[in-house]
Amino acid sequence: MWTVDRILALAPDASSVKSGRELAIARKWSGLGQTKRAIWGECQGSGTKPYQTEIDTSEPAFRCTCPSRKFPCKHALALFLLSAAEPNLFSVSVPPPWVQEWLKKRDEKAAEQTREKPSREATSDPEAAARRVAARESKVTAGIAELEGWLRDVARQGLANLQQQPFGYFDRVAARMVDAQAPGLARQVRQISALVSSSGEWHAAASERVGRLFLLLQAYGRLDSLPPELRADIRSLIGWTEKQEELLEQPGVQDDWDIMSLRVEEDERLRTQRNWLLGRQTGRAALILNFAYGNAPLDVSLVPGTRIQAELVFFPGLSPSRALIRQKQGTGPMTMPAGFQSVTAALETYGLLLAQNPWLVRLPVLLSSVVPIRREERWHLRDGVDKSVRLSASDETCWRLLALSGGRPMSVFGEWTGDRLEPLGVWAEGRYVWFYRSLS
Amino acid sequence: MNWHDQLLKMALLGTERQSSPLPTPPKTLAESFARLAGLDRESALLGALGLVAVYRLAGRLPDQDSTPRPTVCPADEHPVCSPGASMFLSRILGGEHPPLLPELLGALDSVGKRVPEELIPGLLEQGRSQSGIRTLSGKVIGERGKWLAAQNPGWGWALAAKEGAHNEAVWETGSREERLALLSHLRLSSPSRAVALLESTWKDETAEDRVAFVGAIETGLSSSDEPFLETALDDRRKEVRTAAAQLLMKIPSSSLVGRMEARLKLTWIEGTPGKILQLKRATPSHIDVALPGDCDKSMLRDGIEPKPRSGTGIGEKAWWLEQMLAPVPPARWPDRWSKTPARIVEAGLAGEWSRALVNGWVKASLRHPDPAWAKALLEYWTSEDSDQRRIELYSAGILELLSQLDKATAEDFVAGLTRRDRLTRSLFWLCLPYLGTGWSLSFSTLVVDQLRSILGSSTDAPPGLTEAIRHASLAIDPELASDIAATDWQIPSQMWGVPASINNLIVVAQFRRDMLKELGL
Repeated sequence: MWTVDRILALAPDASSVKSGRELAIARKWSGLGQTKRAIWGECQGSGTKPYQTEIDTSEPAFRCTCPSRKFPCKHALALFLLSAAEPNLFSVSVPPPWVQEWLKKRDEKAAEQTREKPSREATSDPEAAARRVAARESKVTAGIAELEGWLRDVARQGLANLQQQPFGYFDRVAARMVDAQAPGLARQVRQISALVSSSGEWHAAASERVGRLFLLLQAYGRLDSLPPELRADIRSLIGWTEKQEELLEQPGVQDDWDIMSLRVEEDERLRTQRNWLLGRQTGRAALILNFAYGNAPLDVSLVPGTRIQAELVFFPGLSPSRALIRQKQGTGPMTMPAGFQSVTAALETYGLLLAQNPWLVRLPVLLSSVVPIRREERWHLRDGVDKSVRLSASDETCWRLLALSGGRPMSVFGEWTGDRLEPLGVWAEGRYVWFYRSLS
Repeated sequence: MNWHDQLLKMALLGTERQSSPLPTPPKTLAESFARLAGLDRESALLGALGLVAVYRLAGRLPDQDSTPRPTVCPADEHPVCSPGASMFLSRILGGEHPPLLPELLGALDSVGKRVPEELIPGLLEQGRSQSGIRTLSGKVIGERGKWLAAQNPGWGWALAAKEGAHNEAVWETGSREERLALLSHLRLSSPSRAVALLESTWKDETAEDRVAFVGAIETGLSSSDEPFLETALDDRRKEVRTAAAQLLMKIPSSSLVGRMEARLKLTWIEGTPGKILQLKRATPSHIDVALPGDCDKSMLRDGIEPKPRSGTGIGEKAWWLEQMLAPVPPARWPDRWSKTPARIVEAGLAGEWSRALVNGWVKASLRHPDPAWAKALLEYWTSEDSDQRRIELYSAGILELLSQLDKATAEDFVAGLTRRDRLTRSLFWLCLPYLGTGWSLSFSTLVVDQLRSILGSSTDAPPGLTEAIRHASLAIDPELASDIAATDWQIPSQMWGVPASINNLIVVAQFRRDMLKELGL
């Protein structure tokens, strides 16, 4: 069922939401119609010919004859919104030829994709693939040597010197890492750059980053002596990616997964959606990432506060880790999730995981009965034995947390980053409330 | 300096500026540090930074919080509204159709529901800047909202006056803003205490402070404030005198109002019917006015401005008459002459001072609400055939009088305009924004019909049309939402701005319909 807020979540930006709403009125449209699979209509724009807009609601997929590069365009959003608000305006009818044609093309394309898969594998040349891997290995190794040299320069001249560097200094280093096909390293260089240019106490944080990055480069040098899971983590931190098709052939983990959070991060034109899932029986945490470039829509099927029965395939590495959904069998409401009974227990687990993977940055944590506390303008979560951790969230979010608790213990889900917990959702008085956050 | 600070200092300065070896770490780290021994100095430093970073992260302990445990919010007997209804609230608080907030809050209150906890902070924050929603918000934030408001000084408005802590010491030591806040706060719970504080220091206050403080008396104004305000009439500063006079004019029993009434020498002169055979013309009833020769000190003290503003075309004496009439509750005249307001207005118009009398009665009715007078004056306004007079009274706020009529009477009055001549019909649109919200279905239907007809028959928009449509979007019965959306609106191209208003009408009406449906209304 497509509700207004689910439809609005598809919008590429705020101005699309606004113009979509303004167009979602009957008088702007003619020839409205629907079938079980599709809705369509014609919208009078500024030109003489009306735009033809159609939506395949099963995906959803959109098509419009307007020249907008946004996706979905305001006409598609408006048509979708109108169908949710005023379903009676859409007569159930045989689609006009332009809609039939598009749906037929979509079917053909889908059929082609299923056929294509095996044929592509058959034509791939294993020797050529091995040569490509070897070429990349040597590029990465050279890049790592270069970055090590850079880090040694930083250590020689002192971290304090970093703030005196000219504009573009870090960007050049990061670009070298991209050239060396080690995008993970490029990202870490940019993170150090962001720390250095931030105001306030950056020294300690930057020295930690620099130190851990150095350890990572060292570890890559003796990758073969490390356990396979850690090896996978290190390779992923450097920037090696897993082939998703191959991964999906690995055995999966079947469970009922509670969807705990949704967050969208934006970097340049790439939007990354992060969903944390918690398995009811396995107790495993899984991070589902979705990427959308430019104005493409993100997958909106994972709604926090609900549960899916699904088989997940985890990326290799130490837990908690990224996963793919191989097969989703059903959805349902979430019930109270189980979590850490004390703050101390959560922190101990973090320590143990760090011992296995010293580059762990964020750990998903559910604290079972904690109360938000505001002390000297700072926010904390306090457990039943009066142990507390600092919160990392806007004042607005923290007041919401306090409002939800009413001074009583509740369950808080969030990401622990080593010194603070960023709250992402709350189970209080029988329901789950999550905090949407878009980072740009 | 401990070992960790030493290491950090070393990292900041760099190895080329210092030759000291790595500091000695605690025993638990010693073994790991030993492995760095064979490396060059830079690598050893980098390695040590990495090790220490992980060491510190892994060893982090939670804080011990020994402050007293927080109070727990008492349970609330009212249920939280449905997730669907809370989605509408969240959308409005998020900036979509903000004028609908009062309607939604009122609807929540009428079905005995409260807002969900996570939206309380947003609502309390809105109430900070929007005092108009405070009363309604206070009813739907529930126990949780009050509990929360008590913990944030910015949200004190949500606490009942007696619950809000106030410290009277502020009166002696605080800044002007703090003292003003105390005064305003006290006026809600104990108005006489506020006046007592004010009187205790009045003589020593600066002129600016006196101006600021006297205005705060408006909240909780009553006849017991009269002695203080009467002294303020003799203040050295004009703004203080004017403010005090304005407040006294609002108290019907004040002696200032009595003095004004005594100055008005108005006499009812009954008209005589004409006698055809004696060729005697009929004279209508009228009001005879005797005015003082000059504006004396006592008139000035009571706030009368001796000179009219230039360009108004009002004579000096007419201006005094208008000002003397304006503070007197209009009900005094029917009481004195045993005539209805309608007849009194008619008589006022028959005499020499018609403009001043009507202006004075309009101002008096705005100050002291009186439905019979409001009706009489509005009837006169719509029957007046001078455009200039219509505009003058419109500017004086005559349409505010519509809010003094009960809803059905007001709707009937405005609906009646549509059956009048062309010029009067166009006043219909000017009236709509003053009709409040929650229009009846029949009146809403009439408005939509009128809208269709004006867009179909006229090429130019009548005055106030877009504002009327904007207000109609908030006030019409949402039952009509689908009807409006399905209408094929043909808007003449000269009506600039009207297409956007119609679109807004459609969108807002649908939003309201869905919102109220979600609440079972």
